[in-house]
Amino acid sequence: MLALSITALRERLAVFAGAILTITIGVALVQASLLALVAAATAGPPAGATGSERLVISDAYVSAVSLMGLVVGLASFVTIFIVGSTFGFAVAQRRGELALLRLLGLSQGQIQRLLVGEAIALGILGTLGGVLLGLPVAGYFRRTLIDLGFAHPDFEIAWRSWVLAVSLGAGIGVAALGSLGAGRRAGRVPALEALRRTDGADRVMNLSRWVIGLLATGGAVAMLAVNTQLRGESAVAISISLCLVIVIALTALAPLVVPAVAGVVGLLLRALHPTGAGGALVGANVRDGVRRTSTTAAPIVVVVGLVVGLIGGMDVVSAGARAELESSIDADLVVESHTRLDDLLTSHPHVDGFSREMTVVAGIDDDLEDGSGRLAAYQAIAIEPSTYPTSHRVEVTTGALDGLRGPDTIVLSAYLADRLDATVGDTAMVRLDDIDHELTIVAVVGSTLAGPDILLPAALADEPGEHRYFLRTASSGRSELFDLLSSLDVATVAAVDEWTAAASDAAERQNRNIMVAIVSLTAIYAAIAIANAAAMATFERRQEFALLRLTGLSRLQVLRVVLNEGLIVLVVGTLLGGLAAFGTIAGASTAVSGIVGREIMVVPWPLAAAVVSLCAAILLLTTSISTVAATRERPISVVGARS
Amino acid sequence: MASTEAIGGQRSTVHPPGVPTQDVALRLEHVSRHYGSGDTLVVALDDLSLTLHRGSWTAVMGPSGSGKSTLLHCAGGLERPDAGQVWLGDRNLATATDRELTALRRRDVGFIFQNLNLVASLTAAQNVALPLRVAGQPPARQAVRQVLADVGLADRGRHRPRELSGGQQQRVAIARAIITRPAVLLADEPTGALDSITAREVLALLRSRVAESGQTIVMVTHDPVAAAAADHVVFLSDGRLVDDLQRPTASVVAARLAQLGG
Ligand SMILES: Nc1ncnc2c1ncn2[C@@H]1O[C@H](COP(=O)(O)OP(=O)(O)O)[C@@H](O)[C@H]1O
Ligand SMILES: [Mg+2]
Repeated sequence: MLALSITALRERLAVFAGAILTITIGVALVQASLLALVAAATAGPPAGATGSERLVISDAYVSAVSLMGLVVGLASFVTIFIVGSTFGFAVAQRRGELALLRLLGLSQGQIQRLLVGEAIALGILGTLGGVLLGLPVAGYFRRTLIDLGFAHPDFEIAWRSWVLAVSLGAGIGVAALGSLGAGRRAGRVPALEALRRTDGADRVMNLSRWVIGLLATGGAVAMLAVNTQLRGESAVAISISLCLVIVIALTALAPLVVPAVAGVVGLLLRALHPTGAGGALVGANVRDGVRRTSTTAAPIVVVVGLVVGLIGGMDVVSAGARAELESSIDADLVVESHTRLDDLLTSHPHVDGFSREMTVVAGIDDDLEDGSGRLAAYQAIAIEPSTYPTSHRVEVTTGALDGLRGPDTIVLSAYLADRLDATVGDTAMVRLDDIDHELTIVAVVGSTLAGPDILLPAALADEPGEHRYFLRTASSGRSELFDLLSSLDVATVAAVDEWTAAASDAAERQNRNIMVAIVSLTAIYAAIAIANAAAMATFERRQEFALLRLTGLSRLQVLRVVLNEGLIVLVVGTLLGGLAAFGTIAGASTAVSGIVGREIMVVPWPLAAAVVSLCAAILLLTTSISTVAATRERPISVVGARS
Repeated sequence: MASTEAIGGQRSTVHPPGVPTQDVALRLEHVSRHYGSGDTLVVALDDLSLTLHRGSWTAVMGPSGSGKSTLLHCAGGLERPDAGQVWLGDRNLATATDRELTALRRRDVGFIFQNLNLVASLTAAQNVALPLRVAGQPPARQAVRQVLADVGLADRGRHRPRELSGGQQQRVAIARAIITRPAVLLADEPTGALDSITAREVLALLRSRVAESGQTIVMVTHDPVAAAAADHVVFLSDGRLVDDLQRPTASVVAARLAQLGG
């Protein structure tokens, strides 16, 4: 039987090339992200860094590890998904051949072993490519982590020989796993099917699709219903899980919507060209090829769902943080200065009032349960409790801000208090600039999206640094004051809306960059899978094209029919992908709105339009090229060689 | 028992009475098979009984949709009857497991069909050797060459199906069906797509299988000339056995067929 596998492999290399490619890219992604993760986990601050620097760099590496963890998870999922659907498709295309082998006496088990054997051979080939491709991909992750500030510029991703075993295991395992389900179904192909003229359409909406589809739908609904606290890295992780669960649900249930979409588009085409047979033909073809349509649409669902959903979800978080910042500050001007300006501001006639604060890095062991004693870096704001509330809206849950007048005190956000399992009156160990402080918690304030999670008395932040002043002025003297402060070369001055806008823009850019770093390569992978599926779906139909041409259609007319069908695939993929994206964004919106206290919802329409256009271009281009290639031979020689 | 008069009546045998049962290659007993339900109910086989003895060649004729293919599929264990029994030798196919049916296809039954797919990626010789490989036997070059020579394709072993004419492809399919020397050969319109000269060659080939290897052949055909090559002909209509002929001639077959409206 191995001989048969190898013959099949050699003969079908064109079709199998797509399957190999999916494994190659998947393995490269998983291997590279895994190496980056391990490199970040073992990296430390460079020698000679100061206490705060060490804290910040170490904390950045912790973030890098979480980030790469997400990339590993996402890449693994998408690899399994794409390889599984590619192999399933490849097997479905061979039903006729497999039925023939059943007719000649191959048992169910032998069919399964044949297919798994092939898959393992493909897995080995694909993995070898993936191991090589993984090297430049790791370089991409290295640069990205440094650019995002999650790694020191010295950061290196070292090759580790054990990863070869992981890659081989993953590549071959995923291939074998992907062919297992398809193989089991193929084993049950009735031998009789080899004798029927038409290729038996095995039921597309099989039991496993129903089970997976309904379970995943239930999971997505449950995840949407539980209003999770969206904070930091967990927010992204939750968004990704939600998005993936919806993608699984929708792709499993895709065969249910294909006929409806095909019907509508067929009607439209008929309305546009009432005389042409195209509309009827297209609609009928798509209904007939539900599996083909669903499979080709699946990677589009992944691309649209992941890219629009995850980046859109992150945009909601950014929008929430922006709204929060805008509504929490009550001032007219913001001044940042390395020297104290208190005397000048106190005496200036146009200054109605001001507050001064300074951002410092505080190290806190916020994960007591892991017992590592590792400190996480938090942004803390050192404030004057008497003036801070005049320019910042703070919602005090328990205790009082005034408690910060005392020495060695601290105010925590509800989020951090919850993590530390501490409340007013307890103490917290906080490291500031290499010195450990035991601070008494005097108040807990409501959590916000963007922090701060820690307020400290100004006295604890005596180090030289940038002081931030929030000023309230009468509008009459504002421009005069603005000019005066601008002329001091120690200060930057900004109107408060400009300052919040700039701060929010910077945060949004960083958020987007992080999300892009997480999804970009996986999305490119899925985009390649679109081309792959489209090509496979087209080549499958050489016979059919030849018959159409024998009935009098020109190559151009065949192409038109196929492109119209591609349009339906695109609509199905966009519809389901859009639904997955919307679900993910809605999930983020629910959580963010809960934290901010009002409805926050943004939909990234330009991004969505760009992603869908790109998918359309890939799909239609690949379909055109492969249709042209698949109709190159004279139709009679294709039909005559009815295999 | 073999009466040929009552059209629409049921018969139990088509061979002369008194033949010992160990000479029976294939027996269908009260076999029924229907498709669909309610308005779309189609009775493809209606309480059909038929006994075929070893080394016989039977042609099955009847109008399109009369159940000929279904009869063949049930006889080969490709379809399970809804009622009745199918005995191949001493095994009842109606109750056999998938594993048993698989083993049976490997050794005991060969299929030849009009549109039987050859594997496009394999050469003629590889296609012929496929059943041996499937059975886990070493592909015996000599045997493959011999069978290909038997079907007149000695020099075409290295050609792929697309490089062969329809008749040649059909002969490759026949070679593939006979290489394992199955006791029963089931053929559905094996000459349907062939010109008359090639058809005659194929029929001669089948005759030699019966004569030399004692194989039992059941052949569905529309062609009275092809049917006349068999030992006897049975006629189906609406899933029932309605007539049979011993030692048929083409003209008699054509006349009977005309009576049935086929
Ligand atoms: N898989 C099937 N599903 C539904 N009806 C079938 C199926 N196979 C055969 N039939 C019906 O059973 C009847 C007998 O079919 P068949 O045995 O193929 O006839 P024949 O070979 O004599 O032309 C026909 O009416 C046909 O439409
Ligand atoms: Mg038939």
